[in-house]
Amino acid sequence: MAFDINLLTVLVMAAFGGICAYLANQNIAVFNDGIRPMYGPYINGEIDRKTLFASSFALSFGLVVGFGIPTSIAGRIIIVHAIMLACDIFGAMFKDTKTGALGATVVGALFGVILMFGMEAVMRLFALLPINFLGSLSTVGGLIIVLFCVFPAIAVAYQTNALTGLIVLVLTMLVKQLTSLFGKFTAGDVNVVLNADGMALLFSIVAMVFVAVRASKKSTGGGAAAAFAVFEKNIDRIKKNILLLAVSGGIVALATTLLLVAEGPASLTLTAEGKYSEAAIVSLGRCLGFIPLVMTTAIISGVYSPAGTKAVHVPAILFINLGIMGLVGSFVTGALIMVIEVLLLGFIAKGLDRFPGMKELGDNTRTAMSKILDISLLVGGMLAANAIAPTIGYIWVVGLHFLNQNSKKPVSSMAIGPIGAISMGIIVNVLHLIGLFPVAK
Amino acid sequence: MKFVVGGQMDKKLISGLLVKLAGDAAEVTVATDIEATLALKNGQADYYFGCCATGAGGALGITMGLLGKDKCLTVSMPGRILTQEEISKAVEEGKVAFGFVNYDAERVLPMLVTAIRQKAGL
Repeated sequence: MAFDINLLTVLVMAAFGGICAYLANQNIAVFNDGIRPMYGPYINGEIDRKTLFASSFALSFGLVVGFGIPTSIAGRIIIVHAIMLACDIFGAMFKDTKTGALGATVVGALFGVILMFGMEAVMRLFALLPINFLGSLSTVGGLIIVLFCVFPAIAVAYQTNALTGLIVLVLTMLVKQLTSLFGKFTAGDVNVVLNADGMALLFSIVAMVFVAVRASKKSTGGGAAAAFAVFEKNIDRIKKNILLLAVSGGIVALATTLLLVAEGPASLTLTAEGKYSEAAIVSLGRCLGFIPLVMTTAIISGVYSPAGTKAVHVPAILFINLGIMGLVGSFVTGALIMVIEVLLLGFIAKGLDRFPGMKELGDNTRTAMSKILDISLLVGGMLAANAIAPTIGYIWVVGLHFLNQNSKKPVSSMAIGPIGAISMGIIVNVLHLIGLFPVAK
Repeated sequence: MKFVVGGQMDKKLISGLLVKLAGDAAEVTVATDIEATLALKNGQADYYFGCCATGAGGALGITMGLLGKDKCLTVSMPGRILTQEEISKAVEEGKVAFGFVNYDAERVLPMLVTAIRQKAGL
């Protein structure tokens, strides 16, 4: 894995799991945007704890096992979903009493530590196999680095039309080509090398926001603000827990800086490859897409997210490898961002009504990003499986992709690439054992 | 009947599928989840459809908060899709807002439209 296992990282993982499970248990914050709205009915006494737990389990378990763990193994950093969604479940599993809080916190903390050692153990185990496929697994995420700059052009097309999207796409390509040709220059004594992927992404995100602001519809007349006014007490409820949320934001940031966790498949791959500034740009883009979703579900439920709008990850990535001051800086900045987010909640509720274009931008950004991630991870998974087994790799992953679409229990489509590549690696080892896959000399 | 497509992903895909499936039986509009929920609340729409990565958060979060969970149904979530029987029963019982995983749209929408047609006696 990309992280070291030492006293500090063990403690951070324990604190991470502990606080997430505690927040979910005390109905303060959950990571799954889908379970958050169920906490409203629970707090109002419409549903009981058992129903809440059953819903939380149903909504999160599939993502932990089907998406979180394979993505973490393929990428060498734990994707936050693997730990935070599990902690949502632990939190709901225990009653929200003092003993329940203790139980949830302990289980969450233990899970954090076990997950960390478990990932490392899986890596060691894979390394012992006769055919070592760990090197090929990084291919799964390789395409994300190149393709992520395409998502803003698609989001623009959703918001306006295909032609405007095409213009943004062509300009993005131009920016990348020009940066790779002329992006190296000397300013005084300093050699500056601009990263072409990073510049293309930065340009396309700026272009997307520009188009969104221009295409923004006029307000439809305060309907949403009036609807949200009912939820004033929910905002107060979240504000009451601002200190705990600040601590959780700080811990999430710290774990990101320590390379323990990453917020999404794209920034995970970039971080694992040491491309920190691009990883930060990517997570900024994702954060834009999640602000409306996290904040609106928080306002209607009175429950926030232990990672907030995911903005805490952006500076945290930039603090990587800056030593002890970087760790302190990451924690403090993360905590500060959470405080600002919580204080802004009421303002955002009104803002979304006044600028519906920003809400639309969030929706379109998420759709476009998920399309890009899906195809990047699918093709990446095909390339990785092909690198592991040139005879049958492509067949296995393409087959899995379509069979999953017809399955009664489909896993997240983003997970097919990682699952396909990992299972291909295991399959060739089994084939090797029975003499059907000789190792090339 | 009036269908409204709300939060949060793949709205063009869903509205296109709904137009195809419902034909003349329904008028389909697209809005943000907040606008769509308010349309349902004010009687400007009869049924709400939304999808996202989990089938619950972006898809139904706002609707559940504003209209209550009794009106809402998550038709598919990562790892599980409801059956036609379960969907028909829920529609019969008065569920009017539906959330699902975006990749399941082509599988759940035909079942939903069938259930809604049955209820309306079409």
